[in-house]
Amino acid sequence: MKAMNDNNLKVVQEHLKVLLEQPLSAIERNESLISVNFTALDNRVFSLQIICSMRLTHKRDIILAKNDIVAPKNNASKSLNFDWDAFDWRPLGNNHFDDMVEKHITNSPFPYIVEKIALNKFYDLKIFFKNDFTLELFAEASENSELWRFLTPNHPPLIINATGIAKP
Amino acid sequence: MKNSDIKEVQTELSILIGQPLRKFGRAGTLLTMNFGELVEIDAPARDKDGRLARDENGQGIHTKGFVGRHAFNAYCEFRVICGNKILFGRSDFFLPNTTLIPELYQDEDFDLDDFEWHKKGDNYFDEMIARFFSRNLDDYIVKKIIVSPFGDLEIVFENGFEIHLFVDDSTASESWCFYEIGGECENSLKILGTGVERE
Repeated sequence: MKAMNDNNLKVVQEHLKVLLEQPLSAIERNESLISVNFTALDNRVFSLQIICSMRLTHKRDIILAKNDIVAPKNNASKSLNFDWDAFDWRPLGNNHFDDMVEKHITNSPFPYIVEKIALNKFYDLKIFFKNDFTLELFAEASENSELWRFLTPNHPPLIINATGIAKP
Repeated sequence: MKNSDIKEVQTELSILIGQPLRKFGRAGTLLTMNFGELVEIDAPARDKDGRLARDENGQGIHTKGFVGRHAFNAYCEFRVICGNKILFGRSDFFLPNTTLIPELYQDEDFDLDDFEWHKKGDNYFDEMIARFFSRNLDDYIVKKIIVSPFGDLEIVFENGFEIHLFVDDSTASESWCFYEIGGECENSLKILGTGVERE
């Protein structure tokens, strides 16, 4: 994989700047694709679609993470009788990730407002919220794979793969 | 993790500083690494496809071998870096190697979901292992290890390579484990999505 050059880095940072001071409105899942949505006051929706690894942390705790998608909810797998063969993580609400999204995002009593965004040369992305939560994306693929994309209304998507900014 | 836990992990892993990487590979989707002094083990034999070898009665066959004394097993995300480039990562388990790609995609109906990535050597991860980690690894000497508050690791080698582990689980499932070959089980160090555990 080629590391991001300075120019690409600036282009991506410029695209993401629109998220500053915006509230997170939802985290959604379609199979293993995770969408993190931000809805501005003027109702424009910006969507970060995550294919690579991710986690949401609060201070020193991991609140939810990509691998939770394949974990049963309510620690059910700790039961000696748990039947892994019968467990289907795909239906919405059927896994630990969905459970944590409902608890910490959907039913959260406080807003998640974007305070700061950090991007490094490997396309790892960190979005810091004012409530001490942080969304982290981790690039773990060679040049053959898409990592994440950012959707802005009325603009072509910004697609980040392991070789740089891909053409839509 | 608490500061004391981070310090404990850092201290335990510091035994690897100055030690060579001995083996880097996978068993299914489990990432395996060995470092340090070579010790003789009685290991299960494997066939050319990496499957456990069995005799005519179905019993596992064992063979003598040498491995590094200090071992890691990682279930979590990882990547291998050289300089400013990611060479490969966990996602590459599931992609065909560069020789197979033209052959597979000749078939218009080829679906990546149907790719049999388990077969040793057929995926891109195995190709990268063969390219970078199959020869003598004496120049992969551990220079530095960084532990994050979540149990992420950065193992930095003197030759410019780095192995990064990223904990992507919030449950009490094991993300990675560090242990001594032939050592006592209670000495194994486990990092879960919820912190440190001693077995």
